[in-house]
Amino acid sequence: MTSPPPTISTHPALFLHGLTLEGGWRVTGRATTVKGQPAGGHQSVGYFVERADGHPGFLKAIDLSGIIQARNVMRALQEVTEQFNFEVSLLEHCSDMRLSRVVHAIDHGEHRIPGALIPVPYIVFDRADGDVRDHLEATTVDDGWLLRCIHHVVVGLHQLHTARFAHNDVKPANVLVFEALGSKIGDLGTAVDASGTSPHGGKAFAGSWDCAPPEVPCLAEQADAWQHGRRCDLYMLGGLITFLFTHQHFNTFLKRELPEELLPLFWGGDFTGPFEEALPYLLAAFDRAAREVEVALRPRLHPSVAGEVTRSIRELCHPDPARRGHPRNLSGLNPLGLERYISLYDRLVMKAGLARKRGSRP
Amino acid sequence: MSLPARPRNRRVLPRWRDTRAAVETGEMRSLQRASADEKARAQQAGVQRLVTLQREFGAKPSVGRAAELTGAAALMNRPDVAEDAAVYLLLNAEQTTPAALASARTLLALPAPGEAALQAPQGTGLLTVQAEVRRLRPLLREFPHNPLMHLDLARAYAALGQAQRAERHLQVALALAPQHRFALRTAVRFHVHTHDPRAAVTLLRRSDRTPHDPWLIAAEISASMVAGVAPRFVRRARDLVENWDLDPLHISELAAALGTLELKDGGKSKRVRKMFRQALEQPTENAVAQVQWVAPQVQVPLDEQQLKSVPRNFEMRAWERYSLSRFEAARDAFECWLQDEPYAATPVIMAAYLAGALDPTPTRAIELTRLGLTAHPADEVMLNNMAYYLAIGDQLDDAETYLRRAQAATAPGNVWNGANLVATQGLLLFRRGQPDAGVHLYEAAAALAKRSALPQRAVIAQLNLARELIRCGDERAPAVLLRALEEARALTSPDVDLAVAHLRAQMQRLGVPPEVLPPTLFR
Repeated sequence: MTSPPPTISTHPALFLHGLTLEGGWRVTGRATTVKGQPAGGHQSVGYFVERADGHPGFLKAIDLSGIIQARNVMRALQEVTEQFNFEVSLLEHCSDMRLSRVVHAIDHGEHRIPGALIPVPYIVFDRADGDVRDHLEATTVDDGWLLRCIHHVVVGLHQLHTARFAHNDVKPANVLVFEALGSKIGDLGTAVDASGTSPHGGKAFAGSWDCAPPEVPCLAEQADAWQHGRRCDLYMLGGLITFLFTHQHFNTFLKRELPEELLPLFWGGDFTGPFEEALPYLLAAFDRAAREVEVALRPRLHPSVAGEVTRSIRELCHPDPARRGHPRNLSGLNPLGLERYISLYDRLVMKAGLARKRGSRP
Repeated sequence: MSLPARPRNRRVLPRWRDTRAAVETGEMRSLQRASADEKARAQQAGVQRLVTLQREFGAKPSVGRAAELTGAAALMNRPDVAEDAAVYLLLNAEQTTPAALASARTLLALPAPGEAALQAPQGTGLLTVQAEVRRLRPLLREFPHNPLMHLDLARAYAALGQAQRAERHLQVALALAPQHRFALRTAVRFHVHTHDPRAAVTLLRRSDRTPHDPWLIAAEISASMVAGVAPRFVRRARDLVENWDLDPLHISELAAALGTLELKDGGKSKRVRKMFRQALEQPTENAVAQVQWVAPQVQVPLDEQQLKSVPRNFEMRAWERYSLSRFEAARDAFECWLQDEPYAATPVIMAAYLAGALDPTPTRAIELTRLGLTAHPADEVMLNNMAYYLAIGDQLDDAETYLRRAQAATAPGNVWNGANLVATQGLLLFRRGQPDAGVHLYEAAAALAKRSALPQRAVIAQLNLARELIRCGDERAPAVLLRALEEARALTSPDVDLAVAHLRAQMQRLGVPPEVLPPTLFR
């Protein structure tokens, strides 16, 4: 049986274009972003909006219509409510703490369309000029720009960690580019907090599994969700750096080097043994993958920069969660600290700029 | 004369392979397998993510979005969903990276441009093993936390006879992965290799993992048998074998080890057969080789169809082909086995023995024996064979040195090697221009072999004597050859067949017209 096509009364979140919301936001167009489960769960729909004073924004509308089809409606409603409230409070917190490299929410609220039974909760964000995936054409983007972008992302992550939140979904789509302000991290919908009160705190991993560190698809048990979240962030940061320069996530390189027998379910295999059993093979595969990444980076970066970028990827993408992070931090009080990477990428941006001025490649 | 490896008391000891090769055999597999439900859930989660990426790419195609989609599709083994994105990348090749283009080509099953021809199989020899050490050492300096690389380096050192270095790397590997099945089994094989099986048993008994892992229990039983102590987990092993309801591959070696133990202890043949049959349900090559070894005592049929799917089944194939006198094929299999276990004595002796008999020059036999002697410097069979190959290659002084070492290494009363040493001495005298003294020693060797109930060795000594007499144009040659061939006809032994084939080839090389040779040589 096919479900009837969505209408404004059944799926109001899909029909906001042209409306002016209760908060005064005029919806000027629909963005391409549609996330989540269309049936049995909720999805979010993206719109471009403008305030009466001409301030542009990006509206994330929550489409609750799918929840009615969920097996347990009350549970699903509770989950989406918790997630929405958590994201709103987290964004407010970020604004209060002036986290400059995290996308801010400008407004939030609910809109009711006459005749529709379901309200549309929404959050309005600063509007970006696309995400980093739209800025990766090799002939139009220089490596200094990419290094600067990485620096901004590391700063953003560090700000979040300092505010005691782990992002949990660092991936290219969540690195938003602002022409005047540089790059910022967006989409805090899957973040976890240190106190363990976030809706995703109980899950093994709430972000995108294709970008997740190997302990996630290997279903390794985690004693501390907060530290686990930070370790995931570090890995995904390394994966993002790899992606920006090679157009392939680190996991793609890693999987290629891993024997088929040891591929976890999510990577197309059927290994379900404990993570500790897979770790030695992951280490061996990691070593080879890191060398592949190094080879792939060489043509894109100046030799003086390539070595340090490769080293940072090796440290951030280490498959052993206990060894992930800057080696000088590992035995210290804050083994997952990002300060050293902030300094590193700041320095690399300058190095690349100098190399460019001298007329050689960045 | 050269000597093949002597079949010993075979035990189901763990193989110590290159870690990449070991994966192929299933030894690294997890005991648990994913259920259909788990697979479906993972697949569904993957599909959801891929749909999002597809939608994002479809709405606003860009190199970044296409690369993200192709990467995710490659990760999840779903090339079908990213075909458009892969084509987009190939059409915008100058905007992306070689890594992304390679991934796109793989997704579309296109050949890589200018793809190099397939690599020739890795060679075996001292230089190859040394090259492996040179390759691994800098890699380990760069990434010292890789336990598998430590194991590979330890294996290379073991093949080079540097047991201390091998042990050091093994210990590092065990410190990095103390409960890891492959690391533990490798350590067992190392300790047996260095004649310290008790250390292997102690290591396994101390590990918390051993009682729960059939692969480790199999190793404990076999190592205990080598060490001459009673295995500790026999009851547990029987329980596991009888009640195992998971992948039968995991208990293949355990069942074979238990069967061997029962056989040694004089257990009921029905029970022993049951064990070996269970070992063959989904066998490892080690279990297959064990079944082949016990075949004279326990008849368990080996299903040829089933054996085809057993990876790296080199040992069993090598002996099977050798026993059928298919020497070229046997040589290939022994060389493959040697590649698998370059530190082991049997494959290197046999590969060199066959190379010595089949090749026009003894170069390969010398190279292989040199590798074997590096790992086993006091092996009397290898020392004798080296002396023989060097003498055949007219490197007489070196041959003399090795022969002296072989004589020193051979225990008095070792009849297996004793007759050979006398024969090799005879060969040396022939090559030094003293045929009469050579004949005397060859005949003494043949007589000694006969007295020791080794008729094949006696015939081979006579065949070698005939070859030397023909080489120096001695008139006694026809009579000796005729007699040797007569005796050879009465024996069915691959050793003798090989010696006859070798002699035939030698005569051809020496340009001896076939009509002057006895027709029995060509039958």
